[in-house]
Amino acid sequence: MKENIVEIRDLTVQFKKPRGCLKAANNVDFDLRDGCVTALVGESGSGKSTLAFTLLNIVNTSGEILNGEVLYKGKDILKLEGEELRKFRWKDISMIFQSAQSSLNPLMTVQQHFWETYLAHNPKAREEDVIPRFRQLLADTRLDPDRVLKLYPHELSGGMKQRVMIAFSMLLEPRVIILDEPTTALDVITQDYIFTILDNIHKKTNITMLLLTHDIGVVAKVADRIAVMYAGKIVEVGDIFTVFKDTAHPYSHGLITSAPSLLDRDEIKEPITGTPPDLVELPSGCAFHPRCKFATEVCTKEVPQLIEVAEDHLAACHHVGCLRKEAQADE
Amino acid sequence: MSAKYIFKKIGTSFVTLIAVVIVIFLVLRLMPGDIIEPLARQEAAQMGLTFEEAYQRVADRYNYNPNEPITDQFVRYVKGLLKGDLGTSMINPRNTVSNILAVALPWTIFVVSISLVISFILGMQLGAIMAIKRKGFINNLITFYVTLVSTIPNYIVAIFLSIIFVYQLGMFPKSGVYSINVTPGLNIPFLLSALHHAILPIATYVITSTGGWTLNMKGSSINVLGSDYVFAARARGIPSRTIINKYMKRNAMIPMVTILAMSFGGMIGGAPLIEGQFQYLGMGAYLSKALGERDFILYQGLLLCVSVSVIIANLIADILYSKLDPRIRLE
Amino acid sequence: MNRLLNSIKDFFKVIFRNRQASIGFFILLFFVLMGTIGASITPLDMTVNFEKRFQMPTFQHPLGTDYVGRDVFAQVIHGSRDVLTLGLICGIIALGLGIIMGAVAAFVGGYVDTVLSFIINVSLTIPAFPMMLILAVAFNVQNVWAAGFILAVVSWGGVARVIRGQILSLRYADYIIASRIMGLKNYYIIIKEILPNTVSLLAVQFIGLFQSGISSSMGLMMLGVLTYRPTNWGVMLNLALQNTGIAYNPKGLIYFLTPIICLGLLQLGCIFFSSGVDQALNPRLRTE
Repeated sequence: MKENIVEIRDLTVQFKKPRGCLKAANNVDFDLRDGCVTALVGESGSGKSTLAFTLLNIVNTSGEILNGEVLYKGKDILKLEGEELRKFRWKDISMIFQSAQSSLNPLMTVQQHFWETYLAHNPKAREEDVIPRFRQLLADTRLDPDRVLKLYPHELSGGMKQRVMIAFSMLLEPRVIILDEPTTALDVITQDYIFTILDNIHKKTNITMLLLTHDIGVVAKVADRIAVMYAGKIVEVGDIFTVFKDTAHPYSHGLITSAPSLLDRDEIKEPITGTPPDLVELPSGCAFHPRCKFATEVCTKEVPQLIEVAEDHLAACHHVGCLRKEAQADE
Repeated sequence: MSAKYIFKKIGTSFVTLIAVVIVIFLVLRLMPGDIIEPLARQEAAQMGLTFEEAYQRVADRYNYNPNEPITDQFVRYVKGLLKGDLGTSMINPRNTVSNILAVALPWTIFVVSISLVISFILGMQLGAIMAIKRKGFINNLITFYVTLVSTIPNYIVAIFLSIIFVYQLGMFPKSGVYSINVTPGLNIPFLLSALHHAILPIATYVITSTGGWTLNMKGSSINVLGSDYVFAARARGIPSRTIINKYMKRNAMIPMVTILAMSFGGMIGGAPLIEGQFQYLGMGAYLSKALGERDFILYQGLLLCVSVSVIIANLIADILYSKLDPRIRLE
Repeated sequence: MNRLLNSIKDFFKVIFRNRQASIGFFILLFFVLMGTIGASITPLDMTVNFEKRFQMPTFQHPLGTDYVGRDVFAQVIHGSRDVLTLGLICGIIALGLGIIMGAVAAFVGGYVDTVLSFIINVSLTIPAFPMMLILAVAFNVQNVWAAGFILAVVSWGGVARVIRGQILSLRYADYIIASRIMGLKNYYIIIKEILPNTVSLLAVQFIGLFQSGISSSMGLMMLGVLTYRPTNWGVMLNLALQNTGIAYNPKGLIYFLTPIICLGLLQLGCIFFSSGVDQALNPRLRTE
């Protein structure tokens, strides 16, 4: 088994809202395996992005990391400060943002962005020495360096911008790259193209990837491992084949079976009923119990912990066996 | 592409100019009563002419005959303007608008533009400080200052400054734009004298208009700080000084530039009061004098000149804007 | 009717929860009472009495007397009525003009928008204050209505531009487009969707016009225009500057400072109140 490059332990991130406190990550334990593509799946607002941002020790405004550790190669990132933290970001872990469209400074060209970031991490560098590298990175994402380097963000199309962001994220040769819904705003063909590029990068560099998405189809195609997040908690995590074949958590089951597929034409979908939880006032016990058909009294009282249901497969549910039983009964 | 943008703006300015000429032309014609009739009577008595002859002479001198149809009057007025005849004083026919313009406009432009530049730069800095440090002593101090100056109109500040520094302390001259003991030209005594006379009007404008810039800049900066591209820049390990200078300030300043021209217009519009208070002989002082003497034709000419300077300021601001924001150049 | 009462109640709930806004509200209330009840119960005697000139404050004259022995206190109270009326008239007319020009431009669009936007721009190009000066003199303004009208005719441009921008941004906002697709009627969209999102803007703009109307009118009066009412604070200030030799005469200080302090306080009240109004009426700022 591969080693963990990132280990998150007991992490809680809280946002102060007028109505009260919102826990976007609630005592989360989560690992990234070196060289693997891990998909972090969940509805909007489940805390995926907040969790991912902590890998760079960065939180959105009004957020606060209450407790926990984020260990990168055994070193706690949350303890980094000032210059040390600044130098760590992007050099070791970089990111492609969900809002690629607006994550570039509108007043700077692509080249200025690249150079600014490079200089921030290599103060003694000279621009003419690194320009060939910029060009190579852009060429790797199938962009025309001569043209693109000189362009301003508003002159790039959505797909181009996303490819620029991919090239940008590889600038300092990080070990881990976070992809926050990298294709959400793009059309299907461009999406496919982007994933091909990412796949090539992965094959070439064996980089660790954390893919945030709500698109199960994408997960099945590119990920080695999957983690499912619900209401600020990881509810199931494991190897992609194991989790897909033998889903242990009712919520993950709902997510996985609701994904459309060309093969299961006639199968009746079982959508997840009910509404996403109110993160300020979470349901007691298991946060999923109001929407869960297996819920019993214990679910309303006790918060389930992640337990090992099989080798390399964890789930947080009081009734991990129920789904398997149901499947057997159907047959 | 930039040239096309500038040409377009010049075209708009020109059309605006035509409209402004029409409006200012109409103001005088809508005035009840015949403003040149008393002058014609006086002329007839002095020169021993018949009233009709005198009236014709006066009408020719002022290029203004209220008995003609309004369209003829307009043609006559525009022809006059094209020949450089902006108007003549009704009190002293030797004083033409052009003469006054030559001695007065440079001083007004001098005072207003220096004030604008100082208050803009000050406001940008203070606003940026307020956006970065949301709380604390400095923030409270700036808030107090901004509230104070926004409650007091600039002419009141001018009264206080003149009472204290001119009349009580005698630190500054009571009137004029430079001392009669110096010879105009590029020599130190003249420049010092000019500055000495201009300091109080400049101080008035700076004290009162810095507040508005500060508040605007604060709001704009807070917006930029919350933007995706600032978040992304932090994730890239860009030093906070760079983020403040190259991201926050530059982006937050862009919407401010659009207000520059309007602010220029407001300052120049307030000149009759400010320059009047310090008896600083710029356009404002002459406007206020012309009004006091009911010298309407002179006033009309001066008002047109002041409006034209605002049109030019608008044009400069537009060009500046296109230089600062790459998104504009595309069009 | 009940709904109206309830929304008034909600409005004041927000205002009183905000310390700054409630201070602003009470300052404004103070001036309103001063201009209505105060002016009705305080006798105003404008007869000249040279013996009593430049008196210090006494029980009989709480703010002393002016350069010809008239009571300053009574003058400033009676002046407040004129100042407030002028501000209101200017605010209402300019807001009305601004709404018409801005809304028509934004809703009709096309060449109507082009023309109206151009007119708005022209009105913003000619410096407002000199324009007010010449209009006030040219039409020989002698009453508060005409004065308010002249101020308004020159100051609507900024409001029109803001309103046009706001409506345009709402018109193309996703939820408005959605309402159109859902087949909702235009007037329904205006009343239910656009108006609620514009009310706070209109209120804040109105307060701004009220403020600028008052300070510009006092500026005009300082230059000897619009002097139809001797107790208006602007005229008081003009007379104080002309007749007391204030630069060297400390005895005239109270007379000179009274209108200035009133103006400052009134402006402060407007600024503070305005911040609360925005909070109370802007759906986006309203938080439960």
